[in-house]
Amino acid sequence: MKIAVHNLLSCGGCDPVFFLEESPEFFRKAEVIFWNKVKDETLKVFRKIPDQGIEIGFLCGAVKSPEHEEVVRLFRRKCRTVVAVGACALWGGIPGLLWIRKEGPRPLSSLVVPDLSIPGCPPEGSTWTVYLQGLLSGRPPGPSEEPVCQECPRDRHPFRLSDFKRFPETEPESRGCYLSLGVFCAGAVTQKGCGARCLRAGYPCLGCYGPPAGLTARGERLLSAMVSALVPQKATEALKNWRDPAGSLYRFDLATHPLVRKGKCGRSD
Amino acid sequence: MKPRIIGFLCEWCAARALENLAFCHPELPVGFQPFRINCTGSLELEVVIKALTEADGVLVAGCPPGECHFREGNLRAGLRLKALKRVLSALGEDLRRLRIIWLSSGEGERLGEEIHKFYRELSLEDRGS
Ligand code: SF4
Ligand code: SF4
Repeated sequence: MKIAVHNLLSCGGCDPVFFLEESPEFFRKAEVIFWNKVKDETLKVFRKIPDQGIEIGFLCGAVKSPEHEEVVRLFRRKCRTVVAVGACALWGGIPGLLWIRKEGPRPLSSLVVPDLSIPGCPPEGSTWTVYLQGLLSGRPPGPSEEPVCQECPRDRHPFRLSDFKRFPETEPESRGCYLSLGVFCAGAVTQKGCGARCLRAGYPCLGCYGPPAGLTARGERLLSAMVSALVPQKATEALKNWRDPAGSLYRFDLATHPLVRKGKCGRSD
Repeated sequence: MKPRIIGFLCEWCAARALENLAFCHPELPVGFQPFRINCTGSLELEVVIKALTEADGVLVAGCPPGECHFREGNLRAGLRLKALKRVLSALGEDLRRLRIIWLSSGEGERLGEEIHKFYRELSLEDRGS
């Protein structure tokens, strides 16, 4: 099977999965026609490939420059199936936070409709396997309806907050849900599928798998939940001390935020 | 382009204040679009964001502290909107576009004044006609 891989604006962390031991069987059999990171080839080579001549094209990263746009359109033309890989391709990812400075990238889906979207930053090996198997058997999976909390090992109980915290300010031996510790854990507004990797390693979820199916405005919802838990007398102080609001709520998807898309926000300085 | 201000008015106070105001046939600025809601506490932040993308400004009006029909809906809304303002400022948004006021059903005239004041602050008054 002929495949092509390309990195747009990204950290380059999505495609090394091909070299991992847990990488899906699929990649060992595939014939790589084009891969900008591995082969020293230019787009010239790629343009010569006949239309629809490649079985599957994997695109990682977000779109910022005119060259990125050209690559995306070429992929759509040359590949029978286009697969968007990782948070940057799906929602703009970490580079999307550049929108705070009014110059961020766009997600891939704003240019072409991918046939399959694999979430994660980067996607876990097991996620690759599930999505590729689904694709090859003709039933490509979509986002799960359930949140990361379903797979999370931490203890849940009702709580009130007097302060918001960042992860390093929490007690290492605490076992409770991060929300109850005042940390903006994105698990509640993120689809499951990673096996709660970060939580099992003792770290709050950052939200890299994106929203569960059907959930909109996940950042605002997380904010609502956290603010509603604040003890009113302490709330003003807590909100004043809250650091990094944009990063806590929109770490991977600021580029898809309605205010960003409308172009009504971003500093002009 | 005509100015547009979206108002979310709590049905127990601000929406009634607007009805009272209407009896006096006031001059309201062009493009003020009020929505009656059940309580400011029931206003989803998602809806506020959507309104901010579509209008020049958003006015949220609820009952004065201690007078909420649902006891603390206005208090909750106040906190949520305050938090949202922190987010909006982190995004470089003009904070004047989101205005929150508290008033009771008898204060129709004040509501009218507040609406005019909002238009003035956003320099929308002359865009009307
Ligand atoms: S919010 Fe985070 S810590 Fe809490 S249960 Fe969900 S994933 Fe676990
Ligand atoms: S726990 Fe959250 S941040 Fe970590 S891999 Fe899973 S979805 Fe991504």
